[in-house]
Amino acid sequence: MPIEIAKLNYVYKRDTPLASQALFNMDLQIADGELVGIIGRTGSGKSTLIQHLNGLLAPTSGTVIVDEIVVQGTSAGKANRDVRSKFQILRERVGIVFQYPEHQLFEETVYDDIAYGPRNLGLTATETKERVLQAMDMVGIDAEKIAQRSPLHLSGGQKRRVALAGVLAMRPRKLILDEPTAGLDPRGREQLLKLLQRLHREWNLTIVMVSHHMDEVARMASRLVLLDRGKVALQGRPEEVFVQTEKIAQLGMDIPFCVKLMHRLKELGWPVNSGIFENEAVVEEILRVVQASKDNEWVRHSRNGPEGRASC
Amino acid sequence: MALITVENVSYSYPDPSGQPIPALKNVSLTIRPGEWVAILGANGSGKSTLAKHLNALLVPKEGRVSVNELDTSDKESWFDIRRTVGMVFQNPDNQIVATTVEEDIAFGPENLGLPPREIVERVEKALRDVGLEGMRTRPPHDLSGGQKQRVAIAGVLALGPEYLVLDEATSMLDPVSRREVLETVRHLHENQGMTVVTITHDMDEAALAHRIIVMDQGSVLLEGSPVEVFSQSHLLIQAGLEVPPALDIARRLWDKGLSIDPDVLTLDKLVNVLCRLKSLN
Repeated sequence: MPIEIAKLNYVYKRDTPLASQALFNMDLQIADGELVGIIGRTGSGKSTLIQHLNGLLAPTSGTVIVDEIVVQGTSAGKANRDVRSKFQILRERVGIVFQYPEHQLFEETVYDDIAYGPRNLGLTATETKERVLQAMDMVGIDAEKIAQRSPLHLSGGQKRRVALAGVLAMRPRKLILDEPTAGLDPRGREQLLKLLQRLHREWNLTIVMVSHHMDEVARMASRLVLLDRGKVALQGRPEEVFVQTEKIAQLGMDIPFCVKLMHRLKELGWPVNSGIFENEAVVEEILRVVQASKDNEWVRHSRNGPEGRASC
Repeated sequence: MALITVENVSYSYPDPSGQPIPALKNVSLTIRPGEWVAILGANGSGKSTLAKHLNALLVPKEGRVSVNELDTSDKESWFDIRRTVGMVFQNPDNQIVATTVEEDIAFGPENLGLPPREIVERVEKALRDVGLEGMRTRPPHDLSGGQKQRVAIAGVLALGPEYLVLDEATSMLDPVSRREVLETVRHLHENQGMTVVTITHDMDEAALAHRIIVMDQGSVLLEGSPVEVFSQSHLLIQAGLEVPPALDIARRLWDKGLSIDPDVLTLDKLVNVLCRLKSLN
């Protein structure tokens, strides 16, 4: 079941002199099995938006529908008693991994930390164990070696996996991640991204990830949603979004390195495709053009400069 | 002499059972005035531990760190050392103490017990240096991540430091904020001769430095100019790092038989090299 957001408004500290509106009349759909990247400057509403997806925030007005569970704006802006259970179901279905989730590890062993959620669901020890072991397997943690260790003794990348496993043990259908690679070194980042891709592919999880790293979301996401001051300013496939260089710059975002390179070469008259986000693919594209230039007349053409543009 | 020297420094943290876990093993290096040094390393490589030794937030268990000839193990010198070496950390929200930008920047100089006129002068200069004159009366929590980090930098500048240490100060910021902060640092470095030490996971940021120090498992693995360090890509990858994207692409093209310079670290350079290559065809 998709996520459907309609006319969503959210005001922090409403009815006080400090009231500030974070989301304005937002409409957004996220289909099952999508991997959506949410980008935007600090304060653009990214965190406010994702907290609506599992009921941590309830709309000031408007509707959020997740798996046919409807959360509507209430006059108080807070959940009342009869919708509590609804929020409970919502939180099982949608797992959120916050920034630096490893700061929230607290149990004495990795096993207990991951088991915390399932135990709170009232599952039996056997069911809990099954879920914990599966979650550890999903994130690539060796249960035999690590299950009984203190989570505090693991490396940064491992801790983050444990935190992710704790969310996966709830068996969510949708996974929301806020800056999942922040603070990780390049190797840890690469491993985590591969892991998310695998979860997406093999478990058909719907994934929504917030990121400040354009290279990362361009490679990962099937669709990007760019927020600006509480509104959706731009959305589409990464290649559609990053083509709009001027708008992106205006909105204070960056363009992935590969796209920047391709655009520069294009300006210089190279017939390259600019919707490329992997270094490997860039290399193939450059080689293709260089090879073609050896073979055909494009060299002569571009030396003169097509249509008077700069060329090389 | 104005210089930071780290000589044979070892440091360990105790694990919960009291066993020492080594974080730095016999590290020696020098930070010279006017330099821009980047410290790279995987998570857990010891780079933040090293940074905290530069202004006596940590004191070596073995070896010696001196800042302008003041030994950091001498408690009497801590006040002067911390004024000389300013630090900016990762999370801007943890570094802000006051309710307006100018009060926040004034916090340090007020604690130095300076006369009011000098405090005002220092705050003014710091505001100018980070380009936040227009924001002086704003509450810091209203600012963007990059602006908050610039407030944190201004707060450090108001103490009149000679060295600025940035410990992953751009890692939580959006792309524009990251650029803003780096521009501010570059301005301080180029126009005021500020010595800069940046600890980072961002290879493009490291490529801005004169010198890169790569930490691996508590030791210095590599040291040299960006071109020298990034030429050792296999060692970097072993240490959990990577090379800047421009160089990675250039390397791969070179592997495929194109003749490409090995010192391509930036987009501009890569574009130039490719142009030259094509016009040779």
